[in-house]
Amino acid sequence: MSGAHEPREEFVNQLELQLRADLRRRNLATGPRLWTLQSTRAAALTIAAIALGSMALGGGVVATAYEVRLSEQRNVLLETMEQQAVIAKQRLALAIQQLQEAERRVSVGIAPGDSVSDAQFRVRETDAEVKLIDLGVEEIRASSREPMQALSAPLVSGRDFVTERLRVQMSVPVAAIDLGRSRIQAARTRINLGVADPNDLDRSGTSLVDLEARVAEAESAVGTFQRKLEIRQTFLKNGVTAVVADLRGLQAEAEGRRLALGRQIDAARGHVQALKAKVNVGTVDPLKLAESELRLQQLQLDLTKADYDVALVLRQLAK
Amino acid sequence: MSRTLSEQDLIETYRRTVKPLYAYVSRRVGGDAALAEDLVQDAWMRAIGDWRVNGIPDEPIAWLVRVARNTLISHFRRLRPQLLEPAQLDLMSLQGSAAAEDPGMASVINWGMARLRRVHAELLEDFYFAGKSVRDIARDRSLSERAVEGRLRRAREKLKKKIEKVTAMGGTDHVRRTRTS
Repeated sequence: MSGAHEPREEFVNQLELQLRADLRRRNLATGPRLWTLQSTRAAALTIAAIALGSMALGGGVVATAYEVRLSEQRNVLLETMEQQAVIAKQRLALAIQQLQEAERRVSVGIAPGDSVSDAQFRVRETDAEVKLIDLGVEEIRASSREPMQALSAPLVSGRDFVTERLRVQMSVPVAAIDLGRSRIQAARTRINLGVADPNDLDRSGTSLVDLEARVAEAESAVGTFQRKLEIRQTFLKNGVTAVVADLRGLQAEAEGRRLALGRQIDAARGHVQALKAKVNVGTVDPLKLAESELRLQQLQLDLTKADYDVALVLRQLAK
Repeated sequence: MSRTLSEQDLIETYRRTVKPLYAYVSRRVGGDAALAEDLVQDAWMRAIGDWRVNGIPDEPIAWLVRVARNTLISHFRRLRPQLLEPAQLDLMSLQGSAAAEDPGMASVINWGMARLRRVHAELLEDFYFAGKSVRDIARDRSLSERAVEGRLRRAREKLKKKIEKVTAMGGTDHVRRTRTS
């Protein structure tokens, strides 16, 4: 970097390549719109012309064109993903630098110990991002199409990309649990020392219950990933059909969301109760209480929606 | 109706605007390179989506800055500074663009600005991040310097109130950020 607010050359170049690749991919995905004809008759005539043309030219020509198209699509997809990989790796390198800087600051006593936990989480998060992109690149190379996320996706050359991806994705909430637990421990220490209020750790309304709810959310996310991994294995052993596997995946997500919302609601209720007590003694603005009550209502609405989603998936499964 | 966005036009526009866009974003986040790169990349990805449909705008840098600014506001609305150094309250006496060089300070000011009315946020943005003097701001807005000073004072007071609400009284020596979502 040549100046304080100037971009790194590598970043500028990589983003340019990514923009080129992304534009090509979008243009390719849209394709020429010759088939959007104005009338049914015109469409019929065109289809007939294409059929005659195809017969005349022979299946070989059509197959060759298809191969060229597939190869072009594969190259464009690869180019886009590879650019994303370069940028993600740069982010990872930056996160590692920030972690080292945090460790240095802690070692000389100018930053609190838990600042290292934040930086460690960021490294694990960006590392997962890099691994997911690398998996995408490998899947495109092997399949010549975009990576498939569905639990019912087929193996690619005997390799199970879906499971590999789920394991990498699961590593992020696992890291969030570690971070959350270290924050809770730090908060408890401050509470025990009498320098923090359990219901208002940082004067912004964050409570110990909030921190615990975040850990519980991350645990619920890990649970959802584990269920999806089990469903995937069952599908691969022909234990369920593709449709059922995908529906059960949706069910796991909806139930996980419901569980997380339930915990958020518990935390929000506790928050409202704490604020009510403070409003009664005149130490908190009633508007703040109204905001918290509104947030609680919003969460309850979200929970109703999650219940509906679960019911919908169960009905589909029953069919 | 879709217009054609040629690769050449896109790249020419990119090369012309990437540095000023980055400079704007980097100052707004106090020089946090990782965050600045994320925001610039995000703005350009949105640009490709929009410009393929609507064509390149007459003032692409203004478009990009607006998108980056909105993304940045959304980003800081989601963040919550957990612990604030009491000395941060002295930021009101900072001169000009000091916040543009300090990610922690920028984070706190951005957090507060994302919660202010636009008129106040824009004034503070000019003062803290664009490094404009009262005279520059007055000239840009066709106001007297005294009027700008008054408005700036009121905006700072509102910002200070927002920040005070999240200031830990126990005293810490750092600023930490965490996702609330």
